[in-house]
Amino acid sequence: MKTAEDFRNSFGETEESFRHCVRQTLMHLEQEEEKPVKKKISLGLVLAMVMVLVTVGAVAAEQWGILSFLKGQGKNPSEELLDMHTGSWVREEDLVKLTITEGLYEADVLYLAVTAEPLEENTLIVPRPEDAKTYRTDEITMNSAMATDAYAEEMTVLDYAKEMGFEYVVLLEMPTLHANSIGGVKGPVAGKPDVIHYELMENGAMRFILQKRIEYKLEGGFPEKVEEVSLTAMGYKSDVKDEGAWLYGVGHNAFIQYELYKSALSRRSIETDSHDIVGYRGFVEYVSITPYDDYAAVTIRMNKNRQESDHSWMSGPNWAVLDEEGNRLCYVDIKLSQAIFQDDRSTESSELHYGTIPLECVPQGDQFILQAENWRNYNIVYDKYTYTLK
Amino acid sequence: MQNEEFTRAIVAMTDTLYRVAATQLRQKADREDAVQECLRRAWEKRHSLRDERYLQTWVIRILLNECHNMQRKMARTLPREDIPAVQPQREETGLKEALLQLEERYRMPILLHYMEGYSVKEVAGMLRVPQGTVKTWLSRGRKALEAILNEEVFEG
Repeated sequence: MKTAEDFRNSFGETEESFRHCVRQTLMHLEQEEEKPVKKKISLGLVLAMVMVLVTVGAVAAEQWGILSFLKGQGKNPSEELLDMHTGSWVREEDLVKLTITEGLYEADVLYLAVTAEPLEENTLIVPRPEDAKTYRTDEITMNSAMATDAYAEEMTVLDYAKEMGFEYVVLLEMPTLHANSIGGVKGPVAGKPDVIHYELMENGAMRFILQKRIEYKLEGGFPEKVEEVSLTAMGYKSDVKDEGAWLYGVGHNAFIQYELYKSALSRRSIETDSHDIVGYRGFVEYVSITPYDDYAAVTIRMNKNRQESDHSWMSGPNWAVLDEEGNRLCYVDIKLSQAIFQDDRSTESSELHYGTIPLECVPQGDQFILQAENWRNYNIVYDKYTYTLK
Repeated sequence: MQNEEFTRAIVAMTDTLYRVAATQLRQKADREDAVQECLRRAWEKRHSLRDERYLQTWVIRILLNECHNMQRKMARTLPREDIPAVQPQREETGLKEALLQLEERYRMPILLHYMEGYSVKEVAGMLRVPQGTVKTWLSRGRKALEAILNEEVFEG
């Protein structure tokens, strides 16, 4: 006769890692609740959104601006990082005035904060989703337009415009970005940038942050300067009384003389090094580091393949920075994660993880050593990787 | 429910949570992910629990849901040929392995009722099926287990 006790014993002791996981999760939940204000951006949430790029704007919503958005510190960058001129160019027949209000060129990514203002009163500007098959405001929901689930499930753009008392709506196609010349490297930056945050204003204007990755040239390295950034956008205007039918569309240019200099200290790992990450099934495409006055920004671009994975797909590894003797110097404090590519089956994805490290962790030489560890239990070490910075 | 009480209750039932997860998920990492997500959900909704006496059954139900979610994801992700086959019965089958060989509908009631000591009514609540169904599953599962082990199981 086998008793219940026999069966319970057959499971053995509860795994220590399971106990640890329970304790850590409870502790983490309590700590999260005790934190006063900021919403934490969840990697799990980001991954769940099957989009080319997802909105991760909780931080931005509180502290608008690229610099504070990316660094979460509200600090000014080093003088050498950024030399910026803002402005806008508007034609009389245009519906919308586009203004680049802020720009940042960090490591290999160009970020622009843009404001789209209506030129006619009582007009609401809303992004037109890239996958929309219609121009009718009564057929596009606010959630699909704003890449969020913050609105009532079936609320259309037209419903929203009526509720807010607007007379007209402009559905704005996401702008195309051009950088006419780049110092040091041939070839322009052009094409659709990714939008990483939208925000509607009370007066009908809209703010958004764009990002565009600048190609790395093996011969030329990173360009030192991005010049003459311009945006081209298309808007479709409709009358709210006409139940969403669109009246006409018009193109628009915002041409701004920008000279964005890359930080002389910003460095990135060479791309030829990629690794399988034990227990995590993926590889790091590159790592970049940009030191500022009192900390350094770190970007880690990863490719993950969950089809092969027998491990957690919900959480990333914890990254420890090691010295040459293998001692932990610090951890990369990940501030923001974005899915930048995800296939239809949600099995393969590329992600960007932005974080910070203290300045004392910034490597003095060309070698940057990262160790991938289980994010719940730092004692579970997957592997360590040495990146050569250039 | 106060945070401390919640934490204390969860820590006290860690072994049960482990056994529930272990009968549903073979991979250690999956079990940890499932319990982590379960606790997160339970934490978020803990104020909606009207009667604290039902915390355990409520958390187990959430964990079962999470385990099912993980299984569905794995079924979607793994190519068919990679889905682990059921282990063939060995001559000396271990008790845990014998339990894992049972169909899930029998396995979970047996674990919860006989091994973890929950009443038929509580198990019915966790599995969201009528009590009569639980009784049937317990009876059939017990017989199946005895057939695998070639021995009687559970007194009474």
